[in-house]
Amino acid sequence: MIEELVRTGVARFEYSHIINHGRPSMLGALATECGGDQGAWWSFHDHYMSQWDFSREGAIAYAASLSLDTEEFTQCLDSEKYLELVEGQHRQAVADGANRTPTVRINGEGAAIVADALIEQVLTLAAELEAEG
Amino acid sequence: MNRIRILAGTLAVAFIALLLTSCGDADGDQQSASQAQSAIQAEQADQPAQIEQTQQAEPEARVQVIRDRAFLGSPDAPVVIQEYSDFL
Repeated sequence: MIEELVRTGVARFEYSHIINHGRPSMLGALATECGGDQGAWWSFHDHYMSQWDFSREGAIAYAASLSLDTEEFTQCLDSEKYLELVEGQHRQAVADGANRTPTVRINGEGAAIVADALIEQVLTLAAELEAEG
Repeated sequence: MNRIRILAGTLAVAFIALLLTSCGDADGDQQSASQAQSAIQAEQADQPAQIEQTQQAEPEARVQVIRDRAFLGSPDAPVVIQEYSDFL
């Protein structure tokens, strides 16, 4: 559904890491960023949204299942190449008021959106966009 | 307008599902926003985007999709959906 909105140019979807659960959270974030080095960021994102293996071995096995270069991936993961990036996104999220996960903002507004407010906000935005042509 | 309303409604349903499937509390650092923003901007400046042409799912789906570590979609999209989340 989001993909359709993205493909039709209505919306852009952005993701920022929040690290709420220590090492497992960090490993998932780092593995996703390392996957991104080989064009598999969104594959890792979808993978971690649907399963609970946040081990180093599990990440490497998933990289292998995607036919990524596992040596490069492992080096990236073990060296914590993207530690500063992930920590920076976490700090920014906290600064933006994202104190619960997932927090969704639309055009920079609405941290900790609740469903009714979200619906109203999306409809309002859509109407404004239509009026603008 | 109807099409936009349908898309908007679909989006809302998707996020309701997200809210129901994941919850937690952030207890991270409280560094200043300016420091964090600077760090992120510096990181993003070092990360080239990979540009791909996605499959044409619908006749009107002609928007070039840019995939990188931070976002999915056109950089010119009028609506930006920002999700802050933890995989756990």
